[in-house]
Amino acid sequence: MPTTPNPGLPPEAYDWLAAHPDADPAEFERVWHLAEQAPPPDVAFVPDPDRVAAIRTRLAVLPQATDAGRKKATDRLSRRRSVRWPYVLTACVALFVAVGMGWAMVPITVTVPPGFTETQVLPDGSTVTLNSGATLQYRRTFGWRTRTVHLDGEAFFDVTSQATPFDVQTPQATVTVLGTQFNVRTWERASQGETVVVLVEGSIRLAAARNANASVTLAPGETARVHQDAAQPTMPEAVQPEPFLRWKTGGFAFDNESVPALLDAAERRFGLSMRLADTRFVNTRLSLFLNADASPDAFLEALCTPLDCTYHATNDGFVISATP
Amino acid sequence: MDPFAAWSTRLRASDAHACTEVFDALHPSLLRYALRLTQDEDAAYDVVQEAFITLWERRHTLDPNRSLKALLYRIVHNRSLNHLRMKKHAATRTDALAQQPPASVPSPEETYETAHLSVLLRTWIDELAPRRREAFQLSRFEGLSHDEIAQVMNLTPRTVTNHIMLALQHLRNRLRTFEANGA
Repeated sequence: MPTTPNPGLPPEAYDWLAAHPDADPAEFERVWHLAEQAPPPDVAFVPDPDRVAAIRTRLAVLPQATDAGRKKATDRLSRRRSVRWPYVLTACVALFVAVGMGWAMVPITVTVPPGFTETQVLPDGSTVTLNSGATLQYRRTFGWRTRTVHLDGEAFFDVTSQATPFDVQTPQATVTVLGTQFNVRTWERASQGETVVVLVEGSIRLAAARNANASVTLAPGETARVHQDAAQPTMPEAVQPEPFLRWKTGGFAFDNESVPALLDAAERRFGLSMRLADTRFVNTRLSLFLNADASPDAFLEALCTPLDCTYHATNDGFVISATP
Repeated sequence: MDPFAAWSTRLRASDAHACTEVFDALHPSLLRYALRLTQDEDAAYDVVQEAFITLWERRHTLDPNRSLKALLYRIVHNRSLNHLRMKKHAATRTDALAQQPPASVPSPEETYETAHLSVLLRTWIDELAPRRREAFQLSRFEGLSHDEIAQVMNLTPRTVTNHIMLALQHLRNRLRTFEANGA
């Protein structure tokens, strides 16, 4: 039995013992020494000299670097390894299909940080300009049978004319178009979830998300809205589209808009929290026009002067309350 | 210089004599180890022969700074487990490990009257879980370092130390009980 004489425990054992103060090193050393009397039963096994000699002979004729010899030895070994090829093949195909489907199903998401706007060119050549804080999602299969995007926030669409319909889905509404330019806004805030669409050019159809059949068709220069509780859109109204699009060039313009929607837009634009401490303003509507470089203070001044409210800074933004 | 490091260097240089020298030095231990894992003498000789052929095929990748002994034990370990898996897969579901004779636990009277401490120790070692027993035996009876055992058994050195210390703790507890009853 070629046991190397072991004068004491392996070195790592002493580290372990140091970390276990309740264990007595002397006891462990004693057990270690005693165990030497109890080698495994196969220690009595004596190799058969003939078989050992046979292996030695085999090793004496090991192939030097010749490729043929190496290949032969490898063949002999790999045959014994018995890889179950059908399983491997099935697993590969399953993996390929799963990865491919996953790839096609995972949507592409574009999110614009507060204070920025961003223009995306979709695979069909349509362009989408996203306002601050907006999120646009579409599948990698976009353009194959359908052109569908999901929007949360505000965006201006310039859609290329194609036979395949182009859909914009928001939580409240679906906008279906052929080739056109229009603005969609869907700022969600408390119970004020609403989608506002303004058409600049071409023709679109607008329907509530919950009822695709009750739709209105917009002509250029018209706007319509879908409230989250509504089963159908409002009737189209004529508007000046320009103020609705001023955000694209950095401006801040709202015509007869609810206070929560204004605060929502400001939150996304400035990346600050804008909370309303007084429910009195929830249904108030207001028009607001600011320059491209307007500060949060300028916005709040423009808001509070007509409403007769005050505001103060908090750790993450502002709280707006009625003047006492 | 460690003889194994010297052999590593010679094997890298395609010195076939080094291969037979390593075989002469290690074949009893490796055969015993393969036999312990496979419980099959024919398989043990096959496994060891193939381990050396594999070693030769990999001679260009040998690193004299890494333990050649651990590498050989590891090859034998893997091939032995492959053998068991193939056997289990091919033939009936007679689990080769289950064929190991169960550790015979002598009755207390028997223990008290006839057993020598070494027989008891043998029994207590057999009580250990298979992986823990293997780590302990490689350390105590084959003289492998914890790092080498970690490479052979594909464990972290920390786990190896835990296995060995818990094995010793088990033996210590058994010994305490035995001495308390016997005295």
